[in-house]
Amino acid sequence: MSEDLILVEADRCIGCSICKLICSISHTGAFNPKRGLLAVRKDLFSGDVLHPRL
Amino acid sequence: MSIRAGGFVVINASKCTGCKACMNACPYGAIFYDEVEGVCVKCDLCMGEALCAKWCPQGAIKVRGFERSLRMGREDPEGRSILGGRLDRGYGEIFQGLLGGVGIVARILWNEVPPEVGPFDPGNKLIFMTGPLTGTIAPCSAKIVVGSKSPSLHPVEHSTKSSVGGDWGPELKYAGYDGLVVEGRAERPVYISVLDEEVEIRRATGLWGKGTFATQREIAHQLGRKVETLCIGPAGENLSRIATIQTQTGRASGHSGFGGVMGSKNLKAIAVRGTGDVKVADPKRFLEVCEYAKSLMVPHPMGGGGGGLGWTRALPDKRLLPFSKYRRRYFSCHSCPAACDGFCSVPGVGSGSEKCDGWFYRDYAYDYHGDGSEEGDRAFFHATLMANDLGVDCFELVSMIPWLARMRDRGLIDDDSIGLPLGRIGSMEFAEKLLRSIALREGPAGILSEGSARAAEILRGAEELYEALWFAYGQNQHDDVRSYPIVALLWAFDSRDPMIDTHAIRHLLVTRLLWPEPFGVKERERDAICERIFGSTEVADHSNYRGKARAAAICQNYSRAFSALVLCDWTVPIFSSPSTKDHMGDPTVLNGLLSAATGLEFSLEDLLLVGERIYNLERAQLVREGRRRGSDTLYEYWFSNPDPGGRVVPREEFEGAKDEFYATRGWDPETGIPRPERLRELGLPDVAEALSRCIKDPG
Repeated sequence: MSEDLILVEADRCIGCSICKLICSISHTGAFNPKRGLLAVRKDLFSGDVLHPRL
Repeated sequence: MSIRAGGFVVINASKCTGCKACMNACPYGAIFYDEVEGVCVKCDLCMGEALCAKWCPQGAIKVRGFERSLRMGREDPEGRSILGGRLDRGYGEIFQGLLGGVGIVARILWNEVPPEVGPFDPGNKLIFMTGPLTGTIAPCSAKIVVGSKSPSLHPVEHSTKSSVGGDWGPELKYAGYDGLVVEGRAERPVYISVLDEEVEIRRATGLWGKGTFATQREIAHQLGRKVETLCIGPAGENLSRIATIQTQTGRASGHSGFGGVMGSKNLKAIAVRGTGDVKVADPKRFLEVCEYAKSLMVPHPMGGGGGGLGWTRALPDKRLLPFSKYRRRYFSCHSCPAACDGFCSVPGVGSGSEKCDGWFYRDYAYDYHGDGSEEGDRAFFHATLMANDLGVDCFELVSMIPWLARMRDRGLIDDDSIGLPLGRIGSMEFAEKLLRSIALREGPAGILSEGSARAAEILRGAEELYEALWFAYGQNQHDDVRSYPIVALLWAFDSRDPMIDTHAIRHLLVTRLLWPEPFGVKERERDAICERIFGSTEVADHSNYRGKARAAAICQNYSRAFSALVLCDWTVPIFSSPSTKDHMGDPTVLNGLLSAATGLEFSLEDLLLVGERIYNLERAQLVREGRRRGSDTLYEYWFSNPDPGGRVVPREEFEGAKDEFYATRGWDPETGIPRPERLRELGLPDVAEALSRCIKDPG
């Protein structure tokens, strides 16, 4: 497990933020996408998903 | 910080001072700063099963071995006026009775918007309300309810509501607020910014006149951060009665004309950024119910399992399939696995959302330019983007354009009298002229900015043709009132297009029967579902009005209940499911989610009682504004003009079903006014007292 890394396929991302919500509730006990330990930021004007990372 | 075996970096929070040196050093941009705790934080792969990968509806997040990692980029990290507003921090004592969303909207309208207030008066309120599930991970919980006096409803400008998805509602919750009520009128154009605790009314001078796309970008630039923005375009500024409130490139509070209300307040936009928490009472149970709800919804025919409006795939359309070559991805609202928004880029036109309501010009564009032609693609998508940018209600245009064509054919209008190139309906030029006329009130076609119902009163001889394309209350046809008795009844009693009811009922009774597996529902399965939800299969027999009144009331109680939570009407109340063997759905997820979120135990019956209470409160407001039994009806056209199958809305049966409906609701059958004793039983004693005065005036 220690060698694992999470990969994001940006092309498949729909920008729903569910990943940030589940991350924040399990690490902080509350729903707060700004405290999710990953960032998948969508640009709704260009259609890009920017800088998927964690 | 330390490095565990295998090179995995962990942060020891007790030692971290929040200096952010590690953030600057990390080439992957993988370390974040938690403003709440004041420490640096980093993914720990959940010390086992990575939950983001497990919950991602798209399978876009995967846990892989380190050697297969990718390099990922780094990310650089006055005007005061008489406009007033309230930010409500809690539902307080009305929470338990009305829950949120549409319930609180109905209560504020009743308490604060008397009948004599017109939609564009400063005394009108514009209410934006979240619900107890907003901001959580509950599936399809992004929507807010917007409420106000509506300029689009006709002939009476009744109070009504609308909804809008995207990310704005959850962001407001993260900023620490449940809702926002705008009252009064600013002296000059302003916008509101809500950045957590900081709430400001700012000048919008440079924004006034701009389209909704540019407005959202400009506000983000001015505030210097990512915000979620609701805004109006030129249509709303010019008090068009068919103007929308928009967010992103295609999400709108559309069909109630609230863009004009916002424009009348000189309010261009409301931008929100929130960094706070949204908590639920029992997180473990809440996540269990969410997983169960998702299992019933995905793959959902309305999307999910790949994104997009699934029925466009279930029923292949020769004009949609070729257009999909422009689709770059699907976008969803906050916390929604369905992703109904197909994001398209058409060369030479632009990029933005493509959904069913944006198809108003599709058929005209391809009829004019030819199927599969790039000119057709461009004309169609240009019209869609332009309507969303100018803030014009796409759905109104669905019927307005054929109405104009019919008036042209009858010689009631021509190019000169209306100022539109009527011979070129389907061209880019026609769409541009029409939309500009509406949004900017330019030329003779500027009267269309008043909405088709009011324009029909001005254009002589147009009313008869108008009725053939609209159902009631100045709202254009949607679903089928002649073929489906329950749809006719739902239309008759609502203040506006009852789509929050008809979406669910149409899926169950009509569309799903036509779909292939796994979405399709067989007739005997449908009957079992109807038995469970309505206690009878009568609702599925479209040849008569038996049992439809009671079923309509049940539908309305459901829709008000889930719109109080607030969940999206595309995906709930889960009457049927593509994932169960018998396609049986389970609406108890609604009360399950609410109970786990609030810690207050609600049964489905409790929740439906809240729905009934809200429906009665909405009705009380309509009654106070003059609504009576006589206006619970459809346009005359639908009673006298048969469809190709020879069906009309049978007047006697229809009126008989109305008697049954008023009896079911505990309303007076003569007037259609809720009886005071029923309102008291529902816990609305003040409403009962005020309405008993109305009964003396039969209207």
